[in-house]
Amino acid sequence: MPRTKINRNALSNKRLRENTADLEEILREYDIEVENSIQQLQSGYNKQMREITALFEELRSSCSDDILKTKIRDLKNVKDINELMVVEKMSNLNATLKDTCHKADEGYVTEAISNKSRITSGSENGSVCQKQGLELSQNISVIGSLRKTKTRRRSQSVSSIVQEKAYVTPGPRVMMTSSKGRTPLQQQNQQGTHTSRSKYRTPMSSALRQKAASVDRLNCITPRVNPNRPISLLRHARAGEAVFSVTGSPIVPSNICETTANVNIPVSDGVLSIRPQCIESGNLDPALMKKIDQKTLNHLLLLKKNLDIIMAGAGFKLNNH
Amino acid sequence: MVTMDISKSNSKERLSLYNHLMKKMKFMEEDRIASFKNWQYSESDKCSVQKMAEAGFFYTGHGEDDDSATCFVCGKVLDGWESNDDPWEEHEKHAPNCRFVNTHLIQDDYSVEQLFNLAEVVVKAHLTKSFNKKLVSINNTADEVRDIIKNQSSY
Repeated sequence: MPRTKINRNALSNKRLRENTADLEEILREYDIEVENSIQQLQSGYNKQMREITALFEELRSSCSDDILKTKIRDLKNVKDINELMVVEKMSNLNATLKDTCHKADEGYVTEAISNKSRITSGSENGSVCQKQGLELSQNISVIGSLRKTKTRRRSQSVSSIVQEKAYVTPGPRVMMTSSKGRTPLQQQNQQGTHTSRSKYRTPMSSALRQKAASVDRLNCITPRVNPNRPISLLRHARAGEAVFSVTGSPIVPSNICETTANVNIPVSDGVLSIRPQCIESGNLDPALMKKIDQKTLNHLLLLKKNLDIIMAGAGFKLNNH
Repeated sequence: MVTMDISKSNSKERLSLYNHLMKKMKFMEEDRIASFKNWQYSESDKCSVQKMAEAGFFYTGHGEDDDSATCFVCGKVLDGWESNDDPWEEHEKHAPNCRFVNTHLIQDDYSVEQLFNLAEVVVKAHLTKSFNKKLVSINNTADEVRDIIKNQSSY
């Protein structure tokens, strides 16, 4: 009985084609694998490069300018390395506090800040500023409405407030200038001229009256936002500025620098900001603690040490009282 | 290969890790001097150990006849030294783009900041070198595997 002849050649060709197609598929898959592993290597390399950059940036920022400019030859002559480290630590703290004064004063000149700035203007190397920083850390007061009430002084003459508001230049510049650089008006202020106020005076003008911060006063929030519409601009809160969530979404006041964790301690005339160079961790939920990476923990350790230094200074003062 | 494992929590451990890395890279002049154990030229020669180390070279030779020295920044390897060879001149002639030789400064004349900058360059250069090495090895292996697959398909 005849049957359909199967062409053996065609069959083997078909098998070969299938085989080739399979191998091409394998080759394609292998190419993808190779591409993936190269990408992984590249991303690991980029990450390490970023880490190294950050590391050296941290190293440079943790040394004062004096140390950075010291020649290696001179560094070898330093007999006691601890002496150098102490100087370095002090200058670090100094720089932090200078920075704090700068941040606290920026655009928010309150009476108390002006007074402090005037006192610090006498210091040429910022050491007075540092001492004050230690004092300030004790005077932790509540920001917002309570702080406003605290700074109200009944015996204060109106004219002196006006003078301060009008003529005192912003804090950091005043702080950095030497005593010779002060304007005559500031010197006059420093001498404590107490001009008596008129017997008949209008109550504090609305411009000078400080309103207590409240969620109800939406007109205080700048820029004015409509929660129902998309926002076209982004503005970060400045140090000491209150942040409101209009619709109740959670907010993190990562105002100063997103890449550095910081602790803002409200003080009587601003905010004492202690910031090591590290990423932000902010939540003390035990479950979240496990998620904090080792690098951040290292930075937190540094932060703790800084706080210990400050608290040691505060404790010393408390004991004296 | 440079590995920056900065996840170690203990600052002492971190410090020792950095020290180890810096020693491995012969970053400090002292380490470069220490690497020349059986250098054939004396202190009075132009290419003395001190001057070689000052010019950024450390010993990478194997055996007595091998006088190879390598720059710790650019990685340039030079051998065949003669007693009147000036290491700085030779370095500049063979590796004109080296970041270290271009400054014309010995280590003592560096400021701390300059040294930090140099360290950053050196560490990054080592990292880039090891990355390129890995990349080449991946590509080579991939080519070999592709050849095997193609040969398989021709049967």
